[in-house]
Amino acid sequence: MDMPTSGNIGQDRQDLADLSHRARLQFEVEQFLYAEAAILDERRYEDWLTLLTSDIHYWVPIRRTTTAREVADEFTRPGDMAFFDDNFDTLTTRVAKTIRGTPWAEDPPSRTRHFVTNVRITQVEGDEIDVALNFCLYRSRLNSEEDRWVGRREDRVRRTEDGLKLARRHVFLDQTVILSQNMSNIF
Amino acid sequence: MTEDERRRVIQAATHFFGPAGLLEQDDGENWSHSTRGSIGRVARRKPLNYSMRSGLDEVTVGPDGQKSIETVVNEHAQLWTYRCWEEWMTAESWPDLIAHHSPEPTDAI
Repeated sequence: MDMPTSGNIGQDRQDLADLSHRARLQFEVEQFLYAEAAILDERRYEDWLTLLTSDIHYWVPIRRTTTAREVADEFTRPGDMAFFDDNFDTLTTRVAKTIRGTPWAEDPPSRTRHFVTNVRITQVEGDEIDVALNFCLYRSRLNSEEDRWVGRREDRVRRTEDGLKLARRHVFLDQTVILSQNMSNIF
Repeated sequence: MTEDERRRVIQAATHFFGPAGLLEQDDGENWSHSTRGSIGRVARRKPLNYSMRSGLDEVTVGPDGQKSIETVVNEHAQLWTYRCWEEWMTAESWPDLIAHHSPEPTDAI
């Protein structure tokens, strides 16, 4: 963010107001994302569902190792095969399965830690705020299994009557071959 | 297949299969653990059992000449793969392999 330096008091005041507005929005969005990450780490999956809009698109395309010439094709495209291509209903099904305690992949449950960083607000349009960020999801399972996924996320946060909600999460992993036994966690 | 059908097939496959798939996410561990289990002393003394549905099924030929086996969970494919592998590995030469490899299964299998 640029600090006001115009020397013109009126202009400086305007710049400060803009800066203050942007900083407030940044703070608000970051706090929302941190709180959401904490809810996932605390395994409060039903609470997590309340943070989603009913039209959410949760998508994790498959990434492939390509030559430099084909690098534009490294991610599968929307509508193609993906690790996740979920809407609100399918996410609800995942949560229902996880909390039932019957799936082997999540019993004993994973211990996860979501890290969210390099948060940039890339666009604000009406009630919707687009956010680009880097993440690291660390997971420890059973006695000795460790996994970590690093990547980039493109989230869309929407301002609603019930506060901020997540309207889109597109996850771009840096791994191509998934080195973990499964991906039974939410990014 | 219409575009809509294609989209639904892909969505169902994504939802249920793959490392994040609702069904398959519970399997990755089983596979790696069963592989790890086969390293053990006792497991190595025993031949692997690939006889599931062996001798109980039948190869049928469709009107287009396509062969198929109507059955449930089975190990026909694994048996065939290992048999072919053995033949390839032990053949003296290409002509020997071509002359002596197993014929494609027909009828009872």
